[in-house]
Amino acid sequence: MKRGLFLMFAVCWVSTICMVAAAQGNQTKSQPAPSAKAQATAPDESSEGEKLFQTHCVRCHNAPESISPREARAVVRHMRVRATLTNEDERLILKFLAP
Amino acid sequence: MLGKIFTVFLLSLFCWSLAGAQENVPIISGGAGFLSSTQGGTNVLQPVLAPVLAAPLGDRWLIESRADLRVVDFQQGPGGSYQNESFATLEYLQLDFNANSHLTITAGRFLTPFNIYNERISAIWISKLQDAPYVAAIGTGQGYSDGIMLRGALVATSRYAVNYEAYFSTLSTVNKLTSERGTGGRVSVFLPSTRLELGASYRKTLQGTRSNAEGMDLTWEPFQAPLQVRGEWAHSPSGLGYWIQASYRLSQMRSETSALGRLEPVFRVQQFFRSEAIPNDSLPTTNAQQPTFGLNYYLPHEIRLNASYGRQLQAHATDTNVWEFGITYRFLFPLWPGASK
Repeated sequence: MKRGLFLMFAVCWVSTICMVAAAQGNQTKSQPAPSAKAQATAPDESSEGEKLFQTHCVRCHNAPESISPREARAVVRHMRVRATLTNEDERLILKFLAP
Repeated sequence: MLGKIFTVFLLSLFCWSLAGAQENVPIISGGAGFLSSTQGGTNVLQPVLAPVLAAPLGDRWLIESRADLRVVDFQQGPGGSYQNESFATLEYLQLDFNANSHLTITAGRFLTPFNIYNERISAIWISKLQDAPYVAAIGTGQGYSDGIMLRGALVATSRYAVNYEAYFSTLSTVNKLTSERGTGGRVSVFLPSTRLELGASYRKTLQGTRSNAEGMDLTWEPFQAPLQVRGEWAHSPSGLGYWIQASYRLSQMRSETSALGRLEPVFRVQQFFRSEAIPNDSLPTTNAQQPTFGLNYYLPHEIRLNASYGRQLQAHATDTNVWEFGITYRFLFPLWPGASK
């Protein structure tokens, strides 16, 4: 019984991973270009995000050597909980890590 | 029981991931290391793996978890034979809901927010010195709580932020998921311009002796120098104590990637004053103090070497040398592969 459940779960899990990976590939290909307005405001927001990242990250640990854009949301959400960031801080740091 | 909880957790992640966007890729992070210590001529060797999972779900939810898997190979006295024991600890498995800028609701198992060591510094790839300070055992229960926690920023401006954490932990006697019934919290003031944070913590245990614990903490990392100063003071019926630690990375003298710039001396001093003999409180049985000096060396690819020497001075006991050497590796990667932007 336990083995059957485990096998069923493993099959579901593997198929989900494949589906999501495929969906991600499609989304990446169809990534829209940033709007003119976004491009104009991006450098300011990015530097503000960098400043916030430097301010809050070291409250717990040294900054990692690199964070890819795909990892950024999970990293920032985790950081938000630990460093009690506001919505705006989270948005700006995410803008810096995944422009 | 642990297996069922883990299955439910993975199933919920499975369901949410179906609806997840590209940005919501879960990550596996954490650290692996090999730690060794010699105290009074007795060796302890520990290979450790501490994986962290963080899975954002939509715009407001996060599932996060950390486990600690280690084998402790310890010597039976100086020159004695070795025995080993393995430990698997679920340190946290929590569901976070970001209600707004001022409130995040956490449910599940979480690290007890008392002072700063337990929640922020205890991970092997973060802590500058291998061993925990004496007072890290005060106010944290077993280190984790099973229940609900509210946390957030009461006030957040560009000049200062006032943060809070408040929790209730239930009594759990379930194997591998034991926790104490208790309540408590922490309030802190953070000054972003100087990266100075001052905090005050409180915990009331709601079982057994129903004792209180109080604590204060300090963190300071000036922008002008790669200096980090941290400290804690804590009090409970067992006694009171403090630790203060300073580390300075030599990257100001040369670049961060130079041979010298990768070196980081660390110094910590700590004292504990015993008031009442309480068995199994994980604190020194008599008054104790220990200065410790360490050297960390940051290699590329998130590998760190650390070495330290401390002298434990304990009342009614022989003073002992504490030597520690270790290597840690910090990792971070997406849970599943995919194209990068």
